[in-house]
Amino acid sequence: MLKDITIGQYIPGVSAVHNLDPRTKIICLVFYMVGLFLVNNALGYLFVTLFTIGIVFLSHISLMTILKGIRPLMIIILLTLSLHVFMTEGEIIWQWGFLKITWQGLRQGTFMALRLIYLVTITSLLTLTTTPLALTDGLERILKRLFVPLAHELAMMMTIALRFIPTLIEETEKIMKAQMARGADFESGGLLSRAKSLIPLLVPLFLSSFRRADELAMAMEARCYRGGENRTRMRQLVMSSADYLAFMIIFLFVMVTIYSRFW
Amino acid sequence: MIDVKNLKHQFRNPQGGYQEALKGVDLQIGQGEFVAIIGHNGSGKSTLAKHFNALLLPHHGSVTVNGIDTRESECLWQIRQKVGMVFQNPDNQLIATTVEEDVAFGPENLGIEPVKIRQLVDEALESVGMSTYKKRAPHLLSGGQKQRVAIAGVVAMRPQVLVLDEPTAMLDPLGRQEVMDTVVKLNREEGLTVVLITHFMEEAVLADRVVVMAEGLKVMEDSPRGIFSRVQQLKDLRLDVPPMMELRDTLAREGLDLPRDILTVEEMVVALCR
Amino acid sequence: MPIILENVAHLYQPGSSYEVKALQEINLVIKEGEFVGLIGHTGSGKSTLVQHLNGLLKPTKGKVIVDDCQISAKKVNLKEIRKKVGLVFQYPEHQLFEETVFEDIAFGPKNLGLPPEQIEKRVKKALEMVHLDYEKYQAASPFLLSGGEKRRVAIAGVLAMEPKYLILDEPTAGLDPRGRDEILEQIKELHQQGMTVVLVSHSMDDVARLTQRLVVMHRNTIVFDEETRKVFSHYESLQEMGLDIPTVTKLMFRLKGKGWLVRQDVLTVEEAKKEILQVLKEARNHA
Repeated sequence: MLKDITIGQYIPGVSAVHNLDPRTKIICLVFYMVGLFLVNNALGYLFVTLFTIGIVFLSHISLMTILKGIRPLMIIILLTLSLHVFMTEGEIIWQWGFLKITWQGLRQGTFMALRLIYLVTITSLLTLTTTPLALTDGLERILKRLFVPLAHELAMMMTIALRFIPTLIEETEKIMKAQMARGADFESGGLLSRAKSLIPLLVPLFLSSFRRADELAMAMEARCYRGGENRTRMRQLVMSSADYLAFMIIFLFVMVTIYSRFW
Repeated sequence: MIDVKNLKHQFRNPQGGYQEALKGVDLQIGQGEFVAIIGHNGSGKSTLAKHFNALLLPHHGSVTVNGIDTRESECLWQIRQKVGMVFQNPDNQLIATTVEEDVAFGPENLGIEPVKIRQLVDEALESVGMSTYKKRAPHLLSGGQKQRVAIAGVVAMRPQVLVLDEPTAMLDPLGRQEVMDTVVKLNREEGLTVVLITHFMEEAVLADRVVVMAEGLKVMEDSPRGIFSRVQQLKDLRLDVPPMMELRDTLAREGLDLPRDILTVEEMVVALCR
Repeated sequence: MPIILENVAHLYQPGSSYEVKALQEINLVIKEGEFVGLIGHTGSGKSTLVQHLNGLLKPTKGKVIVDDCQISAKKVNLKEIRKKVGLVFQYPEHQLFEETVFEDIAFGPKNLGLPPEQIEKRVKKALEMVHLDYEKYQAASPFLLSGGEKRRVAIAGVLAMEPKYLILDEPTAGLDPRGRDEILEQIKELHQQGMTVVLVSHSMDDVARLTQRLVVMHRNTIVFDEETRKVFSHYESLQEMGLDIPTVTKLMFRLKGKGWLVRQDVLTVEEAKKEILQVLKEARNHA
């Protein structure tokens, strides 16, 4: 089920959403979230639902993929739903002992659950349609514009982390096997003993990571890296008319959600 | 090109005190040369290599690159652009999520315009034979392929010298072949000066000149044949001797008269069949 | 009691569209006391095969039997198996984690549940086997040792399990000639002291020097399983598989091609010398 988590994975494809500048997507995501938290009635949610479905459709990502991405979060969604359904005060529809379901509870519960689902969906869509490279690039440029200190360094850290995730996973497996060959047991025992059994795994991993960082820094310096000053980028991000259109659409979206509060 | 004069360098011991890694080394590397530096672990060869691009600075003596002393801090980046370095661990040199992005890293650091960077990257990948892997993620490559990408990353900066510090130590035979073919090609076809630190003699024989290090000093310096024919000396230094040289040596001791510089199987066959 | 692999196959993600054949039709018997070499280029299945010998991987098909105990059986005690079959991975020094050499080597015996006096005995013996002085090294931090020393401590960590079979995956990887010779000497000694050794290697020269029997893998299956000398006589097939033979053996082949009556199953410089001198002497006698 770990591999079903869609946040973080990239699926190559050609679609209106894939082709957008990563900065556009990131900014639109933020505004989408604003709009999502602004709606508070049935009509508003209906609008958001239609809008979200429209985006998913535009991205050519299959519904199956989206649903698979939601599955791991089912528990949280159900919990949220139940909490609101059973805890909200108001007009009682059904009662059994001290458990009561109110009309308002159902409404609130549904809205909150939908909010979660749409949040996960659109965030996943960001990573599903944008390469990790483009993402960190876009983030770096946005952070720079916002005069966030160390924007370049943050982005570099992210890129390097992303690059090494598969390598680290491989290394963890190797160390695990080596320790298992010496009789280590990572599977049985209570919580405390299992935590202790992780030491022969974590210490070598940390050590190799430090060594790796050292060697990497030396290799980067050998290639004249000296931070973000006066650095150029091979890959240029250029806004196209599609991006400006997307901004207009998201602007309208937020306007409608604000307006929907008065419906 | 690179001029090393009486170079001395010490390291602090973790247990206290100092260890002399280099005890006074003199060396010249000329343009277009292919020089191999061999020696066992601890002989100082890696330490020496790191002086060529100012990753380490001399404690005594000097190292100059094209006339520039490596201790001149304003010229640091100039030196590192001229003298590129590839290291032992293929993984711990690649930082980007795709091959072409990684090769672009060097030129980006030099502040080159984007269009030119694109050109440099494509040419560099072409020269190491990795063009088709442009958009591949590094962790999906074999060791030999990773090292070739690392080499491309340096070549894209258009250096004059390529220093390789035991680039094949962690590779399998196929990977080693790939890397060495690439290095020889860069030296012969593109005129890149190459300094290869290695303990594999099959690699050292490809060089124009071989330098042998031991205990922080240069102990031998000659053509590959000249070095490898000194079988006993090499054995005393616990270094490998090409099997044909060793065979020649032991046959000679039994009275056989064979030429001194037999390196390959073919040469031995020719010599024996006379 | 031998290790037996009977018709073993290993598939990753069997039945799915991502199915990968890592091993096919492996039939192998390793008898006690042997020194077997396992060669094959990267991707031929060597690592996968070797991990089946101590239960780190279980076969998708076929049986793996260690000392009469079938690994794929339900109630199998894997710790028992790993006690008998020691596996030293590539760059074993990467698995060091304890504060002292003693503690790290003791990790294995501790996992076996041995009492402290036993553990101390084992650590002492293991350090001896890798030629590291107990008094000098036991309290040292493993991380302040040299590369070669670290590797020996890591190997000692596996030897402390007192295995009957020792499998080493490229034990000389990354070492310089001196380090390589030292490790190979020690492995040879261990074999002479009764250990069954399986040496996985890329180096034809290493394998030619030490092993009596050579198993060659190619494309996930075993293509040759014979006496080392006999294997190297399959020069052309080995070349096609991207493998090489020792330089001196190559020389013999070329001389044979020139009409010399030399044995082609020569593995070392010494043997080559003897053959050549022999032929030259005969030629002189005939002249």
